[in-house]
Amino acid sequence: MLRRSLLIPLLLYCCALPLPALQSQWQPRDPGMDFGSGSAHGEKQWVQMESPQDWTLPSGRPQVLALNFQVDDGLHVNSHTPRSPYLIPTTLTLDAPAGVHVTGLQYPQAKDAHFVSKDTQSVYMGALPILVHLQARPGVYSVQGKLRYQACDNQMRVCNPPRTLLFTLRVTAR
Amino acid sequence: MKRNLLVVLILILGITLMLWSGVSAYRERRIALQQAEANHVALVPDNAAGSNPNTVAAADADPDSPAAQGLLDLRGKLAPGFTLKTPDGKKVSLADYKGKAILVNFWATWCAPCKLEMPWLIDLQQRYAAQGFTVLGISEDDPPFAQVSTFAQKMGVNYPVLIGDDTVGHAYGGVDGLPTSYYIGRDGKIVVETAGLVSKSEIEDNIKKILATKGS
Repeated sequence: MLRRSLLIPLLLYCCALPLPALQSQWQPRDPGMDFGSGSAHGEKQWVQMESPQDWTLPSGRPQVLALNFQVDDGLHVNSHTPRSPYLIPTTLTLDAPAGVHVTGLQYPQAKDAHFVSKDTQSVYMGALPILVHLQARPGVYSVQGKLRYQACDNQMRVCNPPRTLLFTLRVTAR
Repeated sequence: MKRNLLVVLILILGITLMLWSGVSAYRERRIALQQAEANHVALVPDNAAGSNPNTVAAADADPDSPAAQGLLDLRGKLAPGFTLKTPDGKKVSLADYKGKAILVNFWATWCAPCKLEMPWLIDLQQRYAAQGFTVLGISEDDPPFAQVSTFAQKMGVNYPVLIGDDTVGHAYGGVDGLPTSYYIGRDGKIVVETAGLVSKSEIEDNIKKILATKGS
């Protein structure tokens, strides 16, 4: 009788022990730590990802996802096929897990721009949609993506160093 | 029976005390977080040229100041020393040019405005070298560096081209946007710093300023 009556409070006591630890997880998250997409070192980005990162699509059939990026106002990035071998092309890389097969990428039509120099440059400005052709088996997948680009201002006064925008797509195929 | 009741009461009291301490600790943490957020000041300006948070305060005062250009104000200070390699592996130090007027020009092969100013720098190097002036071009390219050499040769560069590293960029306040130039007087002190493409006449004026300085 004595053992039983002691056992219940003791169990309650043990359950209550982790409460302070749990409370630390309930506190609001530091907004600075909330990365939906970003760079490897938390560097400033000049291209932002605007499309949703959660995708639901029919399984077993070819699908096209439109990944929408946005180049910051007043800037441009080189197209996927710049006119000089020294310029850094905009390149999307997707690391697809087993079950997801990326069959192709379709970059938007580039603009031919003449800035300060006489050279014609092949660039993207403003909206930058990239189409991803893929097919997936039923399941939920995490696809890691990287957009590498190099931006300059439209007055061609300053060029920013190359950056890689990292993001994760959550693909649900049914 | 009474003893059991006493034990249960003591345990309940203990649990209540733990809950109370947990809740109060949570409240304190929340208040501390709110205070930290209230004290947070965003120092980074939203400009295309990149930024240096240390320089923002003075940016409004003088639009031509290094701060307004997103640079750390190093004017009047001794230029940070460096030893870097040329694309073919030869070591070059800033100290090798003691007593000369030096234009340290950060550039990259992927930087179109850098390519635009390069012929100007070549011309100015040719015209002012005899007076004790040199350009030192520090490439911010990633490997392979053979392309830096090929590019410089193709452009007809007549001044030393060096391969930069993070240490040098950091020493000069974190070079971000290109081109970025530092004009160093004969006494080794920085006289002018510019971020972004400026006119050839402005570059020449700055070169004249550093040529007019006296060695220490």
